[in-house]
Amino acid sequence: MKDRDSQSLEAILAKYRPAEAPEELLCRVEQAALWRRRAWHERCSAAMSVAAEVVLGFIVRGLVTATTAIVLLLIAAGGY
Amino acid sequence: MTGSANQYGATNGNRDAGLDEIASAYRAHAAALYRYAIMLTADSASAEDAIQQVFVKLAGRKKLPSLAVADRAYLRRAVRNECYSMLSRRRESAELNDESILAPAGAGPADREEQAMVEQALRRLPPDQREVIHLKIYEQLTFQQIADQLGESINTVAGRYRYGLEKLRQWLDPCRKDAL
Repeated sequence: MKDRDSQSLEAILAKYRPAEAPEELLCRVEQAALWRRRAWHERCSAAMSVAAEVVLGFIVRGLVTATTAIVLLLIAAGGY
Repeated sequence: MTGSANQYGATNGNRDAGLDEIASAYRAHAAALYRYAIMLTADSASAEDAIQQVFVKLAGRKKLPSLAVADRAYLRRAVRNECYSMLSRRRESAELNDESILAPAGAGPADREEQAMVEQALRRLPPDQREVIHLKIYEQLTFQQIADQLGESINTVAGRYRYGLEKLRQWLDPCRKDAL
């Protein structure tokens, strides 16, 4: 294709531009994406707090068991 | 744009930094990405779906590609992948939305007939040629930048552009004669 042909065609194309996104679409998509992010973040936080509770529970139970065992050993060693 | 990260983000001081990142990337790039998607798919409904898919998927990711989110090239690649995946699923017989994919660039009176012819011709082009024409003419990228963006050689990109223009020239011949 000759340069002049291509330039005149480019000039015709340049008289237009791609259509813009409707404003309500942009708002809707932004909200959908951000709500999804927040929901994901909240699920993660909830999972983390459950995990923390479980770990804390194990630690407390471990401490109680260890303390009880020590007391029993002391009692046994003391000959009571 | 009405939404803000603050509106959606902070809950009891438990804040996700990714929200700010997604919100600001969205505000900075969504409009341009939509223009890219509508030219690639030649269909406004598909363009809407592609943008929504990309941002919702991004929002659902455990770890954001932090620096990359703000990068338009990264988002453009994601939109491109989504568009091509839609195009491959689209049946040939599928009816496309008849909403306009172009708008007049200037403030002068629009030549509706010419616009319709240009649109029709663009819709007939293969997506890869339409994509290169969009990036070259409407985003004003160089062939080198387009090649880098698409991961193709500069010759391939220039070839697509040339073939695309050649087809448009044939289809728009009556229109061009009037313009000259």
